[in-house]
Amino acid sequence: MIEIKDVYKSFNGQQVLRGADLLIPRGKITVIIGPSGCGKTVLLRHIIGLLKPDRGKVIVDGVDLSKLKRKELNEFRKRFGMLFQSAALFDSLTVFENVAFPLREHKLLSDEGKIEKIVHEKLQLVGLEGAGDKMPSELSGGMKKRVGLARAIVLEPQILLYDEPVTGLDPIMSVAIDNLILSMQQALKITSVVISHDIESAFRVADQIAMIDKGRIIECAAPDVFRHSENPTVRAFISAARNSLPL
Amino acid sequence: MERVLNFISPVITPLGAFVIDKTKSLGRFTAFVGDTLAWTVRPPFRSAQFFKQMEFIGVRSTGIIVLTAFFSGAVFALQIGKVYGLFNMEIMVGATVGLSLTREIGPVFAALMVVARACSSMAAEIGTMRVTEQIDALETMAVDPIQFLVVPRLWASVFMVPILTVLYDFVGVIGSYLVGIYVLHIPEGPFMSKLYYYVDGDDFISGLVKGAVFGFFIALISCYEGFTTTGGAEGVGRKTTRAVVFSSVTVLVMDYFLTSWILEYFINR
Repeated sequence: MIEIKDVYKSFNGQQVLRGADLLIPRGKITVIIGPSGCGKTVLLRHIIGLLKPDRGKVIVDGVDLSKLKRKELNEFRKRFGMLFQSAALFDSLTVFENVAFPLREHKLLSDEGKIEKIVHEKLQLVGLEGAGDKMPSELSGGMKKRVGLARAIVLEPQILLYDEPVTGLDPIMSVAIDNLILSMQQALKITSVVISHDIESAFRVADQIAMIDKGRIIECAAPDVFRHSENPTVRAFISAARNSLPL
Repeated sequence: MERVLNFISPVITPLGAFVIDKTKSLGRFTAFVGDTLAWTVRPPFRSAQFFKQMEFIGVRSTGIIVLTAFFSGAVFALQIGKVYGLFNMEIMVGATVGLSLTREIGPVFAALMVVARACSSMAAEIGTMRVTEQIDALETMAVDPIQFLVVPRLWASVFMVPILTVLYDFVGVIGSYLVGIYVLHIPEGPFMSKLYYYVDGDDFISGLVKGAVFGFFIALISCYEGFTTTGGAEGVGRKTTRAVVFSSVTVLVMDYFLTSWILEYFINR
């Protein structure tokens, strides 16, 4: 379980988070939605300790991240996998080497044959078997995200964080990524946190939807309850997203 | 009192902001240096990365070093030869060029060439990794980016700049020899004997020490600039320029102080 308690964060005097509170249950998919620039990514970065709160706490499985030393934090991070908005693949490495990177780095396996087997298994899971020899620059946006996902799950994390997984993808690829998020959660029983501003995608995958606005969580509920929320900002967000959909 | 404050605040406020900003930058750089040194002695040691960077910084710089060393030695001999000719001192050309190369030109130019070729690319590569979230990705995979990216580059540079300095000295002397003997028609025997007589091991070693110190600072500055990049492609460009400018200026300024220290304590000639 991840507990975000009264988190404040500012950058260069600009207040981004103003007392964000959120409970993320274990083994479920929580989608955090909100307009661009509302602090979604900043919140996600707090969960994995890439940022430290100015005030408040982030507690993951009972451990307060801000209390960890750098080495302990590094060790703790092995529980996490993260898919970045830009996929953040290492462009000097091939797809195979990118996915194998965490395995080789932590010397979990010395046997190259086993590494190869795991990497192929993960690439197959994201539907990219056979793309191992390609360089990241040869891939489309959707393919990059899928490789990023394969790399994020290669250490079999307990918590998987997705930063805008469907942004910039065509509708068919968006649905494919959504299905991947669902199948990851079903296959690996992991806690997933998805950052998105795509409400349709959120309704497709979420067990719980939280909305962030002006640095605070203003609503957090199961999709069916969220859909009928009385909160005016939530209603405005849902109806704006609906109206902007192509007919 | 209030009027006085109103009068001076337009001057004091930006000045204070400037001082705070610079102090913060200095603090961040110091913390970066501390982290880099701490990660140097902590396992895992990344020998593969280290050798890869030695190849990039050292082996791949040999072409440009040979080219620039040859011509700087040659042109130096040509100029000195013409001036020394006025006093019938041409036989001292080899010794003068040899001393200048080993003590000054070798380490300074080798370092500047490494700045131009390797450090610019370090800053751009690390900067791009920063803005495309690759450095964050390293952190999320429990890999310390300073240890993975900075430590191998730093020590590869400390090792390779002195080696490139040796190459620079050697090729530079060949350049001056060819110009001295075949263009200025200086007799070979006296040219070489003066070179042997005046250029000592001390001169050579002082150049190597300078090379190692320059190698340390240029790699550190370039990695730091790359590491602190923000703002997309424009940010990468800006930081790369800063890395090259700061590294080059550091080499030249530091050279003066290192030289005065070496001349004071080690070489009394």
